[in-house]
Amino acid sequence: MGCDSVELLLSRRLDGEALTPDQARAISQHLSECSDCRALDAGWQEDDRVLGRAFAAIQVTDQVSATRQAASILNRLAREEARRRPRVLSLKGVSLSAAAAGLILGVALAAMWASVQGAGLRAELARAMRLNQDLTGQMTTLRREAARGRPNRSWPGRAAEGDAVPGAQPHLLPEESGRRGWEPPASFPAARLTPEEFRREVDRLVRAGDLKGLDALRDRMPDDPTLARFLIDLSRQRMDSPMLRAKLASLIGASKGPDALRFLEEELAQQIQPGAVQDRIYQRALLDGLAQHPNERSTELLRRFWESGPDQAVRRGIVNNLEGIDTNEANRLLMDMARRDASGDQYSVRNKALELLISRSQGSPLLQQDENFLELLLETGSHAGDPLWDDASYRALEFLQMSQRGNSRVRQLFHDLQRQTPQGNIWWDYFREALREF
Amino acid sequence: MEGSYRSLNDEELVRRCQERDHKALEELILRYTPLTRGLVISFIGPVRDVEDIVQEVFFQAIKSLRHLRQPDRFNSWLYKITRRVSHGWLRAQDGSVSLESEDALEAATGGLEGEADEDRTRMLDEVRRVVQELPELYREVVILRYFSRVDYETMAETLGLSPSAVNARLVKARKMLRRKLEPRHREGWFHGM
Repeated sequence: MGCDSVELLLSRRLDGEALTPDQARAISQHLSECSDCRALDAGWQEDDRVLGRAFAAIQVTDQVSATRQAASILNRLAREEARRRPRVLSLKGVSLSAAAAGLILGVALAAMWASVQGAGLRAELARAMRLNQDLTGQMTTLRREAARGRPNRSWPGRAAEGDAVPGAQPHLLPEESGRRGWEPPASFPAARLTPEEFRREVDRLVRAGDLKGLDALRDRMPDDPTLARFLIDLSRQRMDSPMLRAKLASLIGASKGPDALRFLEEELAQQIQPGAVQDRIYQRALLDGLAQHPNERSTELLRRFWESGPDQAVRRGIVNNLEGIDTNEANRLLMDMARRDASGDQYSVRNKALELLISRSQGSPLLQQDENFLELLLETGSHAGDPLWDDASYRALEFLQMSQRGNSRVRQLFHDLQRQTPQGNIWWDYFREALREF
Repeated sequence: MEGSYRSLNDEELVRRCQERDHKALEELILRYTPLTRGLVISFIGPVRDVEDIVQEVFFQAIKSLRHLRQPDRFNSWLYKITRRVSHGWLRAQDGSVSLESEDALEAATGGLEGEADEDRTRMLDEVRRVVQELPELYREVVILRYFSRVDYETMAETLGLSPSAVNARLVKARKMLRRKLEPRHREGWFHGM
């Protein structure tokens, strides 16, 4: 067994992965003969110790932290659901009557407890009583909210719909005595509406021009293919308002059935007609919608769309669509996008396209042997060290190193890169090791 | 009942979550919090906002859970969300992210294990800084191994790789780290740790 194979086994052993008796014997045999690997093994063990300590120091006891995390999320969830509930009855009424019901249930359970002798039944009753306590606790919280007169649709400091992470500030909940909680998201999926309720709600929100309301409605949409036609008709009537049109396109994308797909494709095709008014927001909404209906037929349309030179957000939408289409044609488009989207501000599109291709190539010998793919990887790998290419270039190099060891152009690339890298840099060592493996 | 949820595989658990079973949701969050936290740290470093970002990841995941067509691939789907949310956070920081001191980490994570004197804190910071210098694809396996403590099979499923590719990445990562850590070992930096 050579040093390369033993290194893999040493790493496995260090990580507590199972080794066969033959592998364990091979390691012992090799280490008894190879001083380099003995030194490597000893060094890795040293590093393993300090790495373990370094990360243990920032590690909360997993279970405690996970439980706290789950509790915070479920708390946020419960509050969100409570926020939606009062549409039917007043919160105060619900909470008080529910609390009363809980009290009666508690008394009944206690009486039953006293009379029950069987251990199994007692355990079941104990569980039911705990559940009752939980419910009573939740009702108490609801009652407090109602007593404060806090409007259920507006929480102070609540992150705006669609806010990025930095905008979502943690908020200390008063009743949690110091426990850190989060404001409820308006986006948590509530129960779905019936088709009729959905139609009524869309009509109302469109008339009110409530864009956020339309966004939130997406997660409450019922699975009914007839809704696509309803939304398409509505969208055609509201061509005068670009933002409403985009929001409706987003809802159409989330709806089921062939009507939705046909509409999205027709509208996208319309957008790339010569002389068409370019509406980037609408295009992004259409592309997001199309990604919900992945099909090979869309690839040609996506290519024409990309060749029309859309902005970066729209290009990202195209890559997102290609994620759901694993065909040669889709891969060719990804390669073109990865190669040509090489200028500074396009790097996230290029990285995503390259990442998809590399991930697909692991199960596709055809793609691995594709000359264009190799060219793309060589070109991408040659940018190692350029921060804008960082992740993409090292992914490409890693892939080349693993799958194209015998290729002289790959070896030459690693030679060139090592020559360009100052000795002592972490990458100089990487290139040297890679060349040794070649 | 809780025990029975623990014994469910991911696919079944996710299906129950899609049917709005809150106990299943609780189990899913418990099961995936350590892994997700490790991934967030690998993307953005051990900064104060890690816990907040982990929460945001779960919320975004829960929000779109019903659209997940392959529940058996939940972990790689969650990985993509974690990556997107973390990178979004990084972009919003405009490159001005700095690693937090132990004090800040203590506030963020709820306390350190044991007493950390100044020298030890400096050493541990240094080790994590070296790990942060690795490119993302090597950094993530190191952090999943040492922080999230997951096995090769879980890492492979999460990252969309084969277990042997995970093994190879860890070997490369170890070699890069060795190059940086060896001089510090020789200088006695980690003596007594």
